[in-house]
Amino acid sequence: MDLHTVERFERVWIGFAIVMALLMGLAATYNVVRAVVPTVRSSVGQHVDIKNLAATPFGKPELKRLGFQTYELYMVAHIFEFTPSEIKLKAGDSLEMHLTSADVIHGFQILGTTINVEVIPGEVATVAYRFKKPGIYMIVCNEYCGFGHHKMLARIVVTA
Amino acid sequence: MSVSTLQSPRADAYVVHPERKLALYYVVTGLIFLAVGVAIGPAQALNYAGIDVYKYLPFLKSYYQGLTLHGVLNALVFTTYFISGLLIYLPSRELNLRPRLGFAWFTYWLMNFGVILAAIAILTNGSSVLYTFYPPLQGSPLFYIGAALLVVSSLLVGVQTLWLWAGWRDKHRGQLTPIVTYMCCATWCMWILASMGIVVETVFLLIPWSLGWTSGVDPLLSRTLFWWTGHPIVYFWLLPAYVSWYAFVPKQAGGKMLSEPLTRLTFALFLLVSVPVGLHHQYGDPGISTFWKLIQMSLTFVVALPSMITAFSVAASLENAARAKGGRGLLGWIRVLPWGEASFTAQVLAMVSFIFGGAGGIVNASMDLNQIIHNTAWIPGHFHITVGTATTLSFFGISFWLLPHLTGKPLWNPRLALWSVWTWFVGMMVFAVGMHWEGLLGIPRRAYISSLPSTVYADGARVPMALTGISGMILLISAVLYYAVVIRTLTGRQRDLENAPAIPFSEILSKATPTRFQKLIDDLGLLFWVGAILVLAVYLPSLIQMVQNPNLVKGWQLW
Ligand code: HEM
Ligand SMILES: [Cu+2]
Ligand SMILES: [Cu+2]
Repeated sequence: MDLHTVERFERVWIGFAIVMALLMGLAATYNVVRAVVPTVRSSVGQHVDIKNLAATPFGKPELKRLGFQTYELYMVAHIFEFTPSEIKLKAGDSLEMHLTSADVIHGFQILGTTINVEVIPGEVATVAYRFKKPGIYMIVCNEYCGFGHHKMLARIVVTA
Repeated sequence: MSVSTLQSPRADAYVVHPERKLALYYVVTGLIFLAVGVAIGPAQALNYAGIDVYKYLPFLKSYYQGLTLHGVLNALVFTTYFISGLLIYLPSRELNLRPRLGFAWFTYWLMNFGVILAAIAILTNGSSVLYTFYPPLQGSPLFYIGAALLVVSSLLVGVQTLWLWAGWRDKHRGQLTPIVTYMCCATWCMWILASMGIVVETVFLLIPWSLGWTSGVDPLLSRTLFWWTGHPIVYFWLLPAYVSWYAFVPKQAGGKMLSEPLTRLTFALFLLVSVPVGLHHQYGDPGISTFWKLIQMSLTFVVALPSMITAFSVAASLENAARAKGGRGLLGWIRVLPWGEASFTAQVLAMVSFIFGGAGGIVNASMDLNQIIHNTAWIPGHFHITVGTATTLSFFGISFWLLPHLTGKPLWNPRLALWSVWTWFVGMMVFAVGMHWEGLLGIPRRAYISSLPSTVYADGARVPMALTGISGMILLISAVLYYAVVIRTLTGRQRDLENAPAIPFSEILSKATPTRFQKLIDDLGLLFWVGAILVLAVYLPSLIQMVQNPNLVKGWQLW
């Protein structure tokens, strides 16, 4: 094995690595930009006052029907629960969720979906999802928030 | 290398090279802290098997206090000590220059002081905030002051090393920096740039806030500064292992480093692009524009390149060594490598684990795929085969020659050392399978799940949970074996510096010549500033926006 052969293989390998990295990067960018996978949206720089959530839509955190099969939800994460803690939908419904925290940072993951956002006090995270299949979707707080963190669960019940 | 000639009958190990003692203290102190951190690991693994042993551990007030200790001691404290010792020692021996010992010992004690402050905060249950300490969870001021001192003292070690290098350069104008020194100094420069985030976060935001001098803190700004450091810190853990893989492992395999120019290019690239990528830990954060997340995602794929080059170079140098020894066949050459050597084997297994770690890292880095695994058990699954194995097992391997080299005491029971290496590798592999799998099933990380009814997670995850539990037991055995070797080596009575192993500097097959390009990348100061400009370019838009629209919230103690 002489150095020349090694160098040839090396160039092929580096070329391969560059192409792979490029493809992975482009695929992920496409999925995010075209919202193939819904990602978190927010009004950058705009906050809600968590000492006075009553004066905001989070004062009444609940499910609101917007139209045919479309719903909007304001949800507050606080130690150690989500309000509301159970949401009922029908298969095929689209849900736009607005989330904030009233105290520390929490997580918000809907198991079985790609929804996974950080819930930061004062910041409003918005994310949308269409529930195609009926079932019980568990909501898990997946950001450490204190002694009750592991108990911080909620659910979305989607009926046929 | 200069050889000790001042051997007295009682062989004072440290007269000729007092920096040996310095390196020894850093490395052994790091290993002691790791022992404490690792001792808690198996209890956590059992938690992820649905088995709650915390009621039998009265010295831990909660799962989360234990987890804070585990994360802080293993990921922050152990690594920083070990790396500080190694990365000042290697250049000083390669350049044959002695660091200013008074100052060097001062930084060592400063680091100890910082860690003791943080330890008091954690052990009294005053700061169960985990090693990421996201506000508005509010730990005790001692915790943040201790963390800041740990980082600052490591920076002082870095500055001392760069100082040595600058002294060498003054006397050797026109020459390229010797390769090991180049790699170490590039790593230190990267760390200086990387650590600015956490330094600013602790010194300007968290310390004043925890002391009550400011009434609120911006959680998003703090997180962003944390991850400015939090991603590149993984290169601060990894690059010292790469130093060994490039510069020492070939020699240990009986071969040579293949290409010095490519090795230097790899480290130059790491210095340039390690830092401007931290937003990939914040894909799910509101308040940061998707545009900048995607830019930093693209740069993350760029930092994968020097690691891909490393995989090639190191594998090629091993094959080269094996073929020189008569190994043949497409893969048959692997058999003639020195598998009986614990130091060599540890590092090759560390490389193998990093192949899987790197592949998982690509998933984590992709903003779309990340949403499936973010903050699930997948993540600890991932970093135990990166920092927990690629780095830690490499450091174990290095310690098998470094401790005898520094003390003159022979390695106690090399066979047991080999056993500790294989059990660590197997344990971590099983751990990784279990935890990645649990994560895909939606089980969150950092959760005391063994206290929940089995209907919540356990019933749907029997197999991966069993794997995780078993791996914890294998790793417990491995840790006991490893520490038996370390303790018996250090307490050995025989001291023979004449015949102690030398630093295994590899010869180089294709040496770097002072071409224009190599001279350019030899200027680490220049690369540092280019890297800094890149970091500012991709961070300032988000940071300025956060500073202009502050979102100050009060602190909480919830443990
Ligand atoms: C005996 C070996 C080890 C075992 C059994 C073990 C086990 C675990 C487990 C099960 C977790 C997940 C806990 C959770 O998310 O709730 C964890 C977290 C962690 N481990 Fe280990 N570990 C070991 C060694 C190491 C080593 C060597 C390192 C690094 C050098 C390390 C660094 C970490 C870090 C940084 C965390 C994350 C802590 C956090 O999420 O706050 N561990 N470990
Ligand atoms: Cu939580
Ligand atoms: Cu990262």
